Amino acid sequence: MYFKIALGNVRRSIRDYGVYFLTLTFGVCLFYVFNSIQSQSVMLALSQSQAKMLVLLNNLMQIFSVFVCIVLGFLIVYANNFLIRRRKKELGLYLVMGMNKGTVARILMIETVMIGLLAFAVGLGLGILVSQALTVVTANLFMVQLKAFEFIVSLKAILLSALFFGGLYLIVLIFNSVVVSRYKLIDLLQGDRHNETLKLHSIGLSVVLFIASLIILGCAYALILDNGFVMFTLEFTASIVLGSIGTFLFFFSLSGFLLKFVQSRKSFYYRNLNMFILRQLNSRINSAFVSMTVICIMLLLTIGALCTGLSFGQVLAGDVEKTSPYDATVYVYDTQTLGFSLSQDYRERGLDLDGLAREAADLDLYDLAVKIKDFSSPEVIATMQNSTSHDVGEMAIDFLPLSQLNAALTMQSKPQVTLAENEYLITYSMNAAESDIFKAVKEHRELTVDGRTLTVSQPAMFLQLQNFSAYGNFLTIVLPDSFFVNKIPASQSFNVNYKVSAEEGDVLLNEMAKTYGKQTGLAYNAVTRGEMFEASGGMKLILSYIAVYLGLVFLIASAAILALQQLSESADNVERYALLRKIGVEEKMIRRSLFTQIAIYFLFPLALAIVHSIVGVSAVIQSLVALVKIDIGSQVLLVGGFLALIYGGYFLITYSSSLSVIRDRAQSRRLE
Amino acid sequence: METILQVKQIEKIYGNKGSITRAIEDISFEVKKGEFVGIMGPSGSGKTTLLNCISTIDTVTSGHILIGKDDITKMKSSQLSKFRREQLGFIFQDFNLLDTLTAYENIALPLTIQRVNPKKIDSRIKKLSVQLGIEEVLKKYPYQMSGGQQQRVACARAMICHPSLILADEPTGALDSKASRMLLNSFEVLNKSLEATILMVTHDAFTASFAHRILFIKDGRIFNELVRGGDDRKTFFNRIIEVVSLLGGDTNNVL
Repeated sequence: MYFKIALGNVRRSIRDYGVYFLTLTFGVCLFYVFNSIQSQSVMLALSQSQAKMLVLLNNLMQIFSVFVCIVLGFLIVYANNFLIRRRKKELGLYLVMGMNKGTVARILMIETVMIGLLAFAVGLGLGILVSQALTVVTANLFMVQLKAFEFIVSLKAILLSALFFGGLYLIVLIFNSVVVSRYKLIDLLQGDRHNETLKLHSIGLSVVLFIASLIILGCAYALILDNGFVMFTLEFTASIVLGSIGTFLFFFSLSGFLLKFVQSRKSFYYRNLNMFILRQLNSRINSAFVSMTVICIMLLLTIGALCTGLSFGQVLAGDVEKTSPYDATVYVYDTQTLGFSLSQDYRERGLDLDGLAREAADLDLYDLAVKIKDFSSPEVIATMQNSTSHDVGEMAIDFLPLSQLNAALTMQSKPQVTLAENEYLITYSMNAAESDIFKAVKEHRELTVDGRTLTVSQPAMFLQLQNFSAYGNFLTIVLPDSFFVNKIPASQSFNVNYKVSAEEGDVLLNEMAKTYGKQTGLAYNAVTRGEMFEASGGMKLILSYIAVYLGLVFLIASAAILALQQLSESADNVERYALLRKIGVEEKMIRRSLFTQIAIYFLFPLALAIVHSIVGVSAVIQSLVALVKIDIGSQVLLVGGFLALIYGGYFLITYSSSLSVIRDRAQSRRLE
Repeated sequence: METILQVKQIEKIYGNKGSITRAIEDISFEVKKGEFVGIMGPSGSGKTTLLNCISTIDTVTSGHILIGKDDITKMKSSQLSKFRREQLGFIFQDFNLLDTLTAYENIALPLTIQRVNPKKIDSRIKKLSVQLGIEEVLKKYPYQMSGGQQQRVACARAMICHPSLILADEPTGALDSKASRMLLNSFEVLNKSLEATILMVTHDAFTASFAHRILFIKDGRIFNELVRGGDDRKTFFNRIIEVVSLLGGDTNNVL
């Protein structure tokens, strides 16, 4: 009997439940996908170290999932509360008919469980499908071939999801019965009649507060941009605190300010429904500014997590093909006692370098007693100083002989260069000094080495000289070979391209380097491209997955809160729209007014969050800029895509449901 | 005198084959320009349905309603909303002011949706509000006003576009007697100095006694008609009471 009532209710209020259902489904889907990573079929194709990475990721995901669950829990409780509020009258009717509160709570429980089970099933199904796609992405990030595609369902992840969401539902059920038992019958029955008391504050005050909020936000931005994204410093904390206060004040005073501003433009204010829209916003923002602030900050977290997580992944991982331009680089440290050629030394010690190498060339960097401050501009040095404790200006510039440069260029399949005796060439692969380097070339900046003056005319060369985990060439100056006669290099290395397969080459080279290290007692490091690929794939994977997981959850949570709020607003506004219709406002105008209102609610937190994140992300980039050239273009596209899809989707659903809420009521009234 | 409203043999049936409710059986009447007509009748007599049909919020099952020269039973919904905002003014029992707008803005609303030049809006509102005695509440929100003030603001909103016909549905239903009297005086102002044509549904004999002519409706038909003629209001009121007693035993409903 109760089951029947509950089923009927669910079917009837499917529209009210729409957003709720969608959110739950997304939640379950995400939860399953990111917790099933360890069981995905890509595991079969991974090397041991990669598999270890994936297990680590899986463990991290489980920790984050607890956090995600708390967010979703709040969301579900909020949504449920909203649904009950919408149905006060109906619940009151049950009570009037003589049901006791326990029974009403039970009907609600059955409904909640039904929706929950359905969402769980759909979410799980969706999750299982999406996880198969994720396997392909994982394989891609690890650069492994999926030998055979296998459709895998992770029982463990299903159990985990069931556990988490079951627990969540238990809390919601308890919460529901508490809510029902607390309502008084009269309030339930007359729920509709209570108009929200308007907390109209002075509009003049809003204008002042709005300007204040802009100033505070400006201060916060300036603080973080000037001091960079360095956690736990006073400036950083201050900028976060100021930013939060500014955001809060912004939304607190926004509608008042807008109203005042538009009112002063009479011809716009008194046109169509503009007056109505603005007043609506003003009356609602008064009560909605807290959630707007929260949503804005959540969106900031979303964009921040996605942008920085994905770019960090890219930065740390680098673009392996470019940061490791050779099959391997062997570094040997403290080589003052050594001869002039590391690769020659290898051969002389009976190591069969030529057995594995198609090409091998030394790359030695010399200290010619020219300091960075003698060449680079103070700004460049200041930028670099952010990322190191050494005194950058006092550090020596690396010099490279032309012949070695040409050998390196040949190995990278690039054309060789020639230099006149009084000419130098700049290479770099970090963008910290880029503008200064361009300037140096343009003004033919003079350089004095060993009492000889050189000048530059050839364009600077973007070049990674050795295999490294990221772009690591800050500034290397190439001079004709005559400058290096009888000089000892400051650091020695050689680059190798294999003639054997990469796997075989890596094994042989590592053996060789080990033997060499043993024989000479020198510290060494062999950086192979294969290793870099593995490490980069793992790094990229962990950071991007965590970013996407958290980002999406925040995004869904904020969009769902907004959607529910707007739907409940629309329900409260039915009377107002009915009146507008009666006095002859066309449907088109009403639709436009509704659209504008909902759009403003969705757009304002988003707009401010985007401004916040532009500042935040540029602060992050600024802190990293000395290290690497970051291209966040693709991340921005990806984040934009996610936002458009999910946030935009919620917006459209909200709009169309709101439209039917206000239309539905109008029609049912007509039939009364 | 020009005829503003012509109701010709309208019928309104609710429901389907199984259960039919005949809310209006056969009603015909006319309202001339400048008239103040009251419609009285017990609950369920069809008076609200009649008003809804005339106000184009509902449609008739058969028959015709002409306002001015336009037959509203033949209009499409887009034409109807244009017609409503240009030709009709509404006054409701529960005032129906938008609570988020000030009195001034509530009155301005019909003008803004007709895209009247904002510069003209101000002078029109000022003039009308003086006539209705609400100039000091213009800046207030509905919840800061008394019921009587709210209803007079609603009158101003109904009147601001100079509609051909003002439709009032139980305008004094939510007012105390003092506020009712002030409101009805405002109706007389609208009617006399602004030449507004008013059609008012009420079941209160006192309210009805302000009208020039009263149609009594019972069970979907016109049951009686009273014309005030040269009577003063008190005499007219007594005549109304007589008809009300005739209408049936349910005087509880009409008083």
